[in-house]
Amino acid sequence: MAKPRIYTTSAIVLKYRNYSESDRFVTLLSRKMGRIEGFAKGVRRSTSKLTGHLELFYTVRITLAMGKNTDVITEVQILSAPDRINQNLNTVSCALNIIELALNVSTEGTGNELIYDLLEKTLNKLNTTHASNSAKLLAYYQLKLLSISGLSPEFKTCVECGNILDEQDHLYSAHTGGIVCPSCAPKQAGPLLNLSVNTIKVLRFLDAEDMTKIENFSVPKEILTKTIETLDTHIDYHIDRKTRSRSFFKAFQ
Amino acid sequence: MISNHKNNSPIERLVSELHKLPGIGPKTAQRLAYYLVRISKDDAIKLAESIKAVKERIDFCSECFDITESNPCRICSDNGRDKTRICIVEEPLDVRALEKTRSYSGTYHVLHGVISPMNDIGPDNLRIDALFQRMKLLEVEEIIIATNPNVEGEATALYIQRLLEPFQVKITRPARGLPVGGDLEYADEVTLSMAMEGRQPF
Repeated sequence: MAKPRIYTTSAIVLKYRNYSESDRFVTLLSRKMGRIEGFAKGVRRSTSKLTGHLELFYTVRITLAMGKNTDVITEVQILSAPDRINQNLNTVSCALNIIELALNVSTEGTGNELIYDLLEKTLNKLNTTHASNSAKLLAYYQLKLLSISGLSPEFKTCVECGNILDEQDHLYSAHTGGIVCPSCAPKQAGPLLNLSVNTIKVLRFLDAEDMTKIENFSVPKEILTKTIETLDTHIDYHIDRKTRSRSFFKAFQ
Repeated sequence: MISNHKNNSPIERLVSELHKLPGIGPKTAQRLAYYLVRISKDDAIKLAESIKAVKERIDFCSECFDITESNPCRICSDNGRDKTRICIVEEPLDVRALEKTRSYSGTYHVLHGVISPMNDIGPDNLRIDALFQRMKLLEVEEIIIATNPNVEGEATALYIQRLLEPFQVKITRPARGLPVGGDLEYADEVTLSMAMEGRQPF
């Protein structure tokens, strides 16, 4: 479908970069059109009507007019402003990681409502929940995002022999995209990560459950760290884009 | 393309140098170069000398890291200024903006950037360590974290706040509210709610 000359869509602000004296290019994830980039003229001036409406993590209703190279943002309304995220280093570093992942998996022109809804839901949850839940939410988001993108890791059966995994420690192989049992491990070409039985249980739980269960789910810190590390390895291998905000996230957990 | 092939004629060199400036494309560079050819020799030399002077005489202040001609800078060496207050800002231009208000009489500390994880800029790229060195030497009563009120500025402020905890110093941030000359109906919800929360007796 050809883009109309002026169009309105709901979108989440993922990134911006300053341009010229007071302008900004804003990258957003829209529900219907995927990733879009808009030119926000004068937005850095304190009296601009766009000021304060295009901050990271905000869900906005945005109107753009087709421009020669980039579309120009003409109107913005805030739908939800999760501004509590910015009040804590844990949540802000987690949220930056989340939006960067969304930026890396989204495509221009083709919308994916599932990715959009997941992102909106996760950011809103991050805004209302206690900061100590943020790492759990990140792991949950990573798993669901992988699942939507068709890149889910396999946790139930051995990816090599296909047998159902016993309740014991196993290994994870990014190359084959899931868990391998100890007897198949020597056949693996790529590097392997040790996964404790508890880490596997956490991965399975987060994968199967709904977001509402996350808050009351208690996980020891080292298991959660290992869970996120496994998912990071999986994402790096299969999405193949550097997640720059990861080190910042790790520094504050 | 002018900028791509090597040509040593003075005008070509000037065009390619001007093209390196931010916001200057090849066509604008060409127009500026030909304008410089036409202006009087005095004006052209004045321009060249001021660029040279900027590079030779301007340095970073060893205390606040603001750009300055003398070290320490005019603000840091002024005994009339309140040395117990330090205002942390992102860029030297923020110092200029705050100085214009004439309502702040303390000193500054320029970070030269802001934590921006998505652009690979971490705390190590900023002048944060130097701030601690200063804190150890001076008796500081108040730190005003005047980073920009956006996600990166807030993250930087939180990071500095966390590091400053052992010093037990008063940490403040500038108030947020409605801009003078702005329209209430165009203000965003977050600013508007902060403006309402921070309202003052009339």
